[in-house]
Amino acid sequence: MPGLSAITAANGWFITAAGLIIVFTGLAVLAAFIACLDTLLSLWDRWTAWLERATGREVSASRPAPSAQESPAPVQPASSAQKVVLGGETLEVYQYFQWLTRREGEVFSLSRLLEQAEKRGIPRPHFHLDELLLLGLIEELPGEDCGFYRWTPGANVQPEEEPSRRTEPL
Amino acid sequence: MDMVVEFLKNTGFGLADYRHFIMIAVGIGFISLGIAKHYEPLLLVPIGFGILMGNVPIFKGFGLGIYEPGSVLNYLYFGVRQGIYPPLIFLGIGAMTDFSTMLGRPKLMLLGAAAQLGIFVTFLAALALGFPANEAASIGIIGGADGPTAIFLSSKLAPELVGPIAIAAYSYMALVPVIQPPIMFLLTTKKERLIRMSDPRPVSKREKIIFPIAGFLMCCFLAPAALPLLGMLFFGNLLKECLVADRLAQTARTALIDIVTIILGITVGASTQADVFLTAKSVGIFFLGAASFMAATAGGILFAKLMNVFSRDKINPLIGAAGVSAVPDSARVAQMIGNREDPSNYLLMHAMGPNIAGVIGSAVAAGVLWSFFM
Repeated sequence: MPGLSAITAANGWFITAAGLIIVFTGLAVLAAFIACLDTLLSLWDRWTAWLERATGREVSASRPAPSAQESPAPVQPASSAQKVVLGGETLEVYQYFQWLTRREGEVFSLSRLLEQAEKRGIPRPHFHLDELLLLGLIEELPGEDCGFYRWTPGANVQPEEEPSRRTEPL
Repeated sequence: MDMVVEFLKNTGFGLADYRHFIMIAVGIGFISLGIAKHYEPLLLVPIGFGILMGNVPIFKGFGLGIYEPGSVLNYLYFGVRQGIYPPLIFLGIGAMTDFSTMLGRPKLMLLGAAAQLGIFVTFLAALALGFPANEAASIGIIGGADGPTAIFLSSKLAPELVGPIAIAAYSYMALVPVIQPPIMFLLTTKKERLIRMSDPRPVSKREKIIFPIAGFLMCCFLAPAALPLLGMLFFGNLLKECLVADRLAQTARTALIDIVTIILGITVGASTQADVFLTAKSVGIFFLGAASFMAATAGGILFAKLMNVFSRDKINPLIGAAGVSAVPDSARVAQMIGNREDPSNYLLMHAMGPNIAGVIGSAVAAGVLWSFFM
């Protein structure tokens, strides 16, 4: 029974319509969710910051480190600190780099760090590494250890507040 | 003397007929395409050699053939019959895929959905040509341009067609650079091909971690039958993005996917024994498979043009063709055609969005079709 009647007999029209609707709905809902995700995360950050303030605790970074279990790595909290404000992608990459170097100890190799960063798909690792070097957050070791690097002790990294957040009440 | 004659009769030369030689030629063709033309070599070389293995004439009953219970090949083929290998391949794909281009501009996911039109158009065409509904659904999924998904669905709905469907799917995936460009030129104007797209927004690591969890839950609540494929795809991606399970992600995207690809390729190739493969049905499957790819490509391009009618931020319709999954070949084709028109226009990054959405879309479509014929 070939032809259009075969399609009708097998509920082909219904299956096709339902299938297309489900596929479109699934991906459209997912796309809508992704489109809102950034906003939802900003709201979440504001809420947690507000909660911390309300409970009297110090406000931590507006964006958490890649893993909640991680402790901030080799950078020592400084007293006489050189204050560096980082925002957006740079702050995020700074946190990844810290996480990556934590495995190697206090002293690390830049080439290995770049290799690890590229393997994990961290965006523009060369650019960001250069940026961190220029900001003085990473320093080369002197003397015999020349060629190896460490996080500058005493560097005080502060997350940049987004303009939209500054204007809105918490 | 009789013994010598008897022995010669029992060799492959004595047992072979013309169909074996046709299939051996097909196998050598696959291997040549993989090695000489670099068309999907990781798939075509194992499949091609599998075709050679499956088409050496052998005695039935000696436990050698892939369809004979107890044979080594039959044990390995179990993973194909039961749909075990495709989810494992999806795990590896998830662990090696960066979803950030898709997350940076989520509306491009709709192109991945539109390209699934090919699946359903071919399903209707196969029904109209007289294929039973379960076989028609298995044939239609070729238009998803996703080998593991095609094998998974056909193993569930029409196990006897796994060989022809897999061979058709992988052949056309390898031929994406040949099939798609004429359709892309036919359906777009020069002005459209020159459209430059703005950069997608940067995506934070948190979004990349949340996406596989949210994506899995949303898609699988909607189409639960897609769970084996999408579950593994998103799990693999979570392993990659969470950074704390790097060893697992590394294994999934290297050793595991390579091992499964080897076994899958060899067994799917070996399942094309001449006597079961060279039938009129297989010819029909190849014909419909080609139509399915074309319809899928056209669906993606036309939907991109439709989106341009309503959107201020114009999309280059060439990237609609990347909505057929065939990762990353169809995205490369979009880049190649766009680059031919304007050498400074780089579409690859933009095309990867619909390309990856196409993988999700075809898995959802497979789940939907499976649920209708369970």
